[in-house]
Amino acid sequence: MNPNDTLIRAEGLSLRYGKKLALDNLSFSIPKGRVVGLLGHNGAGKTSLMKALVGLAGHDGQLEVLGLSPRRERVALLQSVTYIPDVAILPRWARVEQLITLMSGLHPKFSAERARTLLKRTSVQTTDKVKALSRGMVVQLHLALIAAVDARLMILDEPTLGLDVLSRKAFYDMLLDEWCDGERSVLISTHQVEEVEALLSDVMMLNEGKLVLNISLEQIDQRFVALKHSPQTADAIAAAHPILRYRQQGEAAALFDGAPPAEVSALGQRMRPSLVDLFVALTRAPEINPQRI
Amino acid sequence: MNTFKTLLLREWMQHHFGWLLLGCVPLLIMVPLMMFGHIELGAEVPPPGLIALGFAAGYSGFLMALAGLVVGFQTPGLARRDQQDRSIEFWVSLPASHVQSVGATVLMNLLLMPLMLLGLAVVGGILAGMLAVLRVHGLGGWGALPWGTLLTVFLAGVPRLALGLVLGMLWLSPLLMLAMAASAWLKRWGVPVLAAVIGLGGLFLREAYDQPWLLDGVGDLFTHFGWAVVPTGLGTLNFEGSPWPAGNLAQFGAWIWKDTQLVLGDLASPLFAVALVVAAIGFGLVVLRRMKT
Repeated sequence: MNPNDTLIRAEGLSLRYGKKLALDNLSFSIPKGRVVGLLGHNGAGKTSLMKALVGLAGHDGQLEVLGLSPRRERVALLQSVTYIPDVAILPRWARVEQLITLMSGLHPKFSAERARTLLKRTSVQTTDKVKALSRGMVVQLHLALIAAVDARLMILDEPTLGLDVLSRKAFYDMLLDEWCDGERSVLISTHQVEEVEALLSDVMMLNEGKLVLNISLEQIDQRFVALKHSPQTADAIAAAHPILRYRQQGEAAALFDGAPPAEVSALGQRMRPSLVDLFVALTRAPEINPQRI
Repeated sequence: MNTFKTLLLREWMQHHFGWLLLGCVPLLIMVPLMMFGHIELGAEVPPPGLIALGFAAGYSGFLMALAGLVVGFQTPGLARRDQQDRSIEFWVSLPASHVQSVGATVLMNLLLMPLMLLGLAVVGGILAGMLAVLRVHGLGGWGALPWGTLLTVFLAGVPRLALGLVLGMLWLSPLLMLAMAASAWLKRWGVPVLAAVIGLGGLFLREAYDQPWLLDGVGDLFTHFGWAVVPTGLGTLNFEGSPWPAGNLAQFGAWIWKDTQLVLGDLASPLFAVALVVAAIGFGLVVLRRMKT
């Protein structure tokens, strides 16, 4: 891979809040043109990682975003990186047109015309006051504003938290249609794993500050094996040490990291492991899930 | 520079309504009061020129005192304004430095808005003066006004008031910036703690160690503030050429020039240097708090 294609590079990245270790020695890179899902329980370190990426939290270890140090070169970085934080609240006193004016002055790569075009996809009017908008409309407005920035990387921290299903769908539709072009990358954290699975190219899972998985979705299919099996074969399947045993559509299933032995595979029917099951398997009990990447 | 101007524009967008209300409501009350209210001037009715000047100065002084109260009450809250409406995450996600952001807030709310209000106070003052002359001397009073002298007073007095406002804010800047810093770090306890530290700490130093410098220093700041904003020749109204006791308005221009030299010379003092250093520390603390958002 061309080094210029790497948008984010982290080596031994750690972040502390007092005595609490929020990020523990993370190493990863994100190339251009990817849509990366950042998954983890509450408190796993997702927001801390995203804040470190945009220079809003200090850290130890090496971290480069677009070749810049986020902490030291935050202003320059934010000209090419857009960010919707988890508590995405636009100023309630502002009108939409005022926000467009302010973004035009504050963001050198912002296109007011594009923002207005994007807003036409929504029910938000440029004369609306933010405080008169529903939460879903505010999030749509925020996405329209930052999607109108000609950036290379978008970082979204739980952008659809608290939205109904229609608003979430509208959000992701706009994100895919209007921003993802194969060159730009998106790092998105969410708890709605099923909803984002279809739009992700890669997934990173954090557990208690540790990166327990960093893999493309194609590799997931190759590395992890899910077997649907009958109750009669449960003991034999369990003996092969799956990383998760669960039920899928009323039937017993087991998830293996790597292909199980052929005789075990023969006991069940192979199926595609879902991201949710993988997430549960890798993050439910840290003490029995040693770090794996 | 465009970024800073946009940040100033943001302050204007957010706060102009309140400031305009502050500037215009007294005007809307004053006009009918002056037109239909009772004006009592004692047995000896002053000449039209002094009436015009007296009412103009009275109205302007009242409005600026009101503005001073608003600045005093509002300034500590500015430090936490964006945290309180939860928009801080939006603002810090934009490519503007923390220094610029805090600087624009301070400059607009502590200087530019009060200057705008001074403009409204002067306009309202002129109107109050003209209406007072009309009520006391009738339409003929306007014809008897010493227009040349009044123009001299206006041309000399308004720049002096504007300069005085700037210098006065600089004299009070350590207290205002410390109040902002205290509020930023200690939230609602900030101002009470600051008041306790200065008040009780100053008393303790004076009574227990015979060190009155803290209380004296704060008192001196207010004294210098007063000299800066009210042209009194540094509190020596009776110096040669003072126009006030004699009502000799023809000398006003020369006198105000002397006063201006005095208040500018007043800046060359160790107290002013210390005031600026303390203000800079307060500003730095507000910026530091914003960085840790």
